[in-house]
Amino acid sequence: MAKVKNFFRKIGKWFSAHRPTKRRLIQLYAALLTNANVKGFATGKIYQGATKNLCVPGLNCYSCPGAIGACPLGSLQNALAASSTRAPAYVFGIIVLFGLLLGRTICGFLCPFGLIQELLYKIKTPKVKKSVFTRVLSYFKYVLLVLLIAIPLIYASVPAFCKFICPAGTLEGAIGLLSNPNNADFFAMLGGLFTWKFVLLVAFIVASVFIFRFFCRFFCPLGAIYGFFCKIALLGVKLDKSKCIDCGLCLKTCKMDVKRVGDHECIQCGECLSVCPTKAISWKGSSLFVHASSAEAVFAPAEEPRPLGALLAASATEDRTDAPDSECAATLDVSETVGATSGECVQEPVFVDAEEGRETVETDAPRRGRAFWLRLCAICCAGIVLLAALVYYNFFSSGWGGVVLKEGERCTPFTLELYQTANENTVFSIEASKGKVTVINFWETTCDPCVEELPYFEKVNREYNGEIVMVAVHSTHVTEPVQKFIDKEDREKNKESWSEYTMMMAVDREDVNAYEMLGGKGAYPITVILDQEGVITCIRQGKMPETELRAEIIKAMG
Amino acid sequence: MSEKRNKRICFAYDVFFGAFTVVFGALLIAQALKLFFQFSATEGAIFTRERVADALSPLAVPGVLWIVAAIAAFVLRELFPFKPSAVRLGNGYALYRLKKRMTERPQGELSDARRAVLREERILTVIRLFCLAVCAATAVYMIVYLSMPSHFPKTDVVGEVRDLVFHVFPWIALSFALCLGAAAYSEYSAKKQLPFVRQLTAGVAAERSPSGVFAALQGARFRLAVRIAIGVLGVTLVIVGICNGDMRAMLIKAINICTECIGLG
Repeated sequence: MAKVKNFFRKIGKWFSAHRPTKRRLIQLYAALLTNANVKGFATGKIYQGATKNLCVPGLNCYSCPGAIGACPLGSLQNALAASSTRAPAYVFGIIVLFGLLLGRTICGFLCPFGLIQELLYKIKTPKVKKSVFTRVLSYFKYVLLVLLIAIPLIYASVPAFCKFICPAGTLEGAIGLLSNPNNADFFAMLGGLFTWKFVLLVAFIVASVFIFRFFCRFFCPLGAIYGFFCKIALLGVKLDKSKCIDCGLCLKTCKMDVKRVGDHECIQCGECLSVCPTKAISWKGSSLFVHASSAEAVFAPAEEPRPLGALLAASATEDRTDAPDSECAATLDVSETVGATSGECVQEPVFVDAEEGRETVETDAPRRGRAFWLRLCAICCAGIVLLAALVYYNFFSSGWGGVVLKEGERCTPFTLELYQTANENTVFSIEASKGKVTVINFWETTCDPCVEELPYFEKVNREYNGEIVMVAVHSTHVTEPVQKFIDKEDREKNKESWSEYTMMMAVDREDVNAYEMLGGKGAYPITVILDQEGVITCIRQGKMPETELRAEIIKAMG
Repeated sequence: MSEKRNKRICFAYDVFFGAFTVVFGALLIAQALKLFFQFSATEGAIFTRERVADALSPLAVPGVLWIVAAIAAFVLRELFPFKPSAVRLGNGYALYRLKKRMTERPQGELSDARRAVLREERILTVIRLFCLAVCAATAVYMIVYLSMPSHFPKTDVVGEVRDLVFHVFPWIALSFALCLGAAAYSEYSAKKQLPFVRQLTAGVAAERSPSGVFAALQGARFRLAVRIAIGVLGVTLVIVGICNGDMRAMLIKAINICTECIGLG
C-alpha cells in the first residue's frame, strides 16, 4: 500500500514539475483566441466577418481558416503597396499602438508562431547555443524589414515577405486550406512558388528544433518593428540598476540574443525574473496585477538557496575564472540542452528550465490576498472572452447559406448590371447567354493575379469575335469604384486601354452572390465556363494560364 | 548510475535523434522537389491530391518512427536524469562588466595595462568603422538597385525578385561575413584585454553612472513624454485610416484568401 501511495506521489510530483507555466498557458490562450474560427478548418473556408477589420498583435496569417483577425505584417505590406492611392495610416497606427502598449511582450506571450517554435525547441536534440555570431545574425531581420518596406513601395503591390518567405502563411494558410478535402481544387494553383515556400517551411521547422526561436531571432520583421519600442513599451521587463550586481545570470538564462535585460532582442518572457538573486528585474505595468518580482532565485531541486554574499563571492570568482581558455563561448558548438560543459562555474547556482521542475517562493505576502482576487477576476474574464469567441465564431457567424454549384450542374439563372460593355446590353444574364459558351471571371482590383490575367482573357475574347460570351465580374467588396481603377490602369501602367475592352464587366451583388454560388471560397480569381446549354464545364480556382483557358473553351464547345 | 553516464547516454541519443530529424526534413524537401521537377514540364496541374498523397506515403513509416523517437527522447531524460551544466557567457560580457568599473582615463603617463587596453580598443574601433562602412555601402547599393525602374520591367515577378536576390544578397552576405569576423575578433580581443582590465579595476566596485544627456534621455519624464507623443500619433493614424478607407481596404484583403501570400499561385 505504501509503495502504491509512493508511486502515485511520484506521478503527482512529476506532473507538478512538468506543468505548463503561466506564460505557456497565455500563449495557448492567445493562439486559440486569434484562431477561434475552428469550424473554418472543418469547412475549408476562411472567416469573412467584421473582426477582420482588426489586426491581431502576433504573426497569424489571415488566410488561415481559423484566423479571426488580420495579420499585421500582411496588412502592412498591402497597405504600402496601395500607398500611391491612400496613405497606409490605419495599419501603421495599429502597429504603433501595439508596440507602445505591449512591445515585444507580443512575441513572448501572444504570437502563435512563436509558440509553435518554442514547442518545437522542446524536442530533445542537441541545441545550438547563442553567441556573438547569433547576435550579429539577428540583425538580418532588420535587412528583411527594409526590403519588406521598400519592395511594395517601389515595386508596388507585391507582398514580398508574405509571398516568398513567411512560413506562417504556408503552414497556417496553405496547408490549413489544402488539408481540407473541400479544397481539392486548390491543388491546381500550386507550382514553383509553393514548392519554394514548402522547402523554406520545412527548413524553418527543422532549424527551430535545434535553435531557439530560429525564425523570430533571424527573420521576423514584426519582431524587428516591435523591438524599436523596447524602451517605451508599457508592458515588459525592466531592470533596476541600483540592485543589479552584474552577475550575468539573467543573460545566461535568456535564450535570445540579448545584451541586457529588456533590449530590442528581449521577448519579455520574464524567465530572467526568477533567476535574479537581487530581484533587480521586475515587470513594468500595473502593480495591481503583477508582483514586482514573485520568486527568489530558482535553484535546481534539492539545493538550498544561497545567501547574497555567497553569490557575490561567486561572481567575483567567476571574474577570475573567466580566464582565457579554449572553451570560448564565442564558438557555435553543438552542446546539450543548457550550455557548455565548463568546470569554472561550479560555484554558481545551477538553474533549470522553468518547466522542468522548480521551487518558487512567494515573498510578497501582504499583497497576496488582493493579487489572488485580481488574478481570479482576470482569469474569469479571459475565460468568458474565449468561450464567447468560440461560441460566436463557430455557431453564430454564418457564411453563404445558398446552393453551391459544381461542375456538371446547370447554372442557376441570374442577372447582373454591367458598368462596361462594347454593345448596347445593360445587363448580363445567364439565360440570354445560352447558345454560346460563357466565360465568367471573378476578380478584384486588389488582386494582382486577377489584374494580370484579364488582358489575355480580353485577347481570347477578341479572337473569338462574338462566338463566346465573356464577362469579368468584380466582387461585391469594392474599395474604389472599379471604373476609377480602370482609368488608373489606362493612365499609369501604359496598358492597352481597359476602357476599350470588348468583354463585359459587371459587379456582383450581395443578393445574387454569384461568386459563392459558383464555388468561390474566398480566393481570387475564379474562372467559370458554361457550355451552350448553361451547364458548368469548368470551375478553375486561381490564375488560369492562357493555354488552359483556350483548351477549356474548346472543350465546352464540344 | 552516475550523472556523467546518464549525460553521455542522453547526449548520444540526442545526437542520433537530431540527425534523424535533419534526415527526415531532407526527405520531405526531396519529395516536394521530386514532385515539382517530375511534373512541371507536363500539361496540367503539377500538384494534385493523389500525387501529393503518393509522394507522402513513403514517408509515413519514417514519420511514425520520428514521433516514437521523439517520445523516447523524453522518456530517456526521465529515466536517466542529470543536472544541466552551467552556461558560460563569453569573454566579451566579462570585459563589459569590468569596464563599467573602470575610471575615466587618468592624466599623465599611462600604465602598460592601460596602453594595451587602449590599443585594442583602437583596433576594434577601426574594424567596427570598416564594417559600418561596408554595411552602409551595401544599404546604398540596395536602395539604388531597388530604385531603378529598369530592373523591374514588371513582366515576371518571380524572375525579378530572383534577380534582386542575386544582385543584392551577395553584398548583404559579405556585410554579414565581415560583421561575423569583427565579432570573432572582438571576442579574441576581449580575451586579450581581460587580464589588463582586471589589473586596472582591482578593488573598484562602483560603476560609472550615466550623466548629462544620457541621464536625461533615460529619465522618467522624457520617457513619459515620448510615450504620450507616440500614443497620440498612433490614435491619430488609426482615426485617419478609418476615415480615408484604409480600414475597409485592409478588411477586403483579409476576408479573401491571399493566394499570393500563401504560395497558391
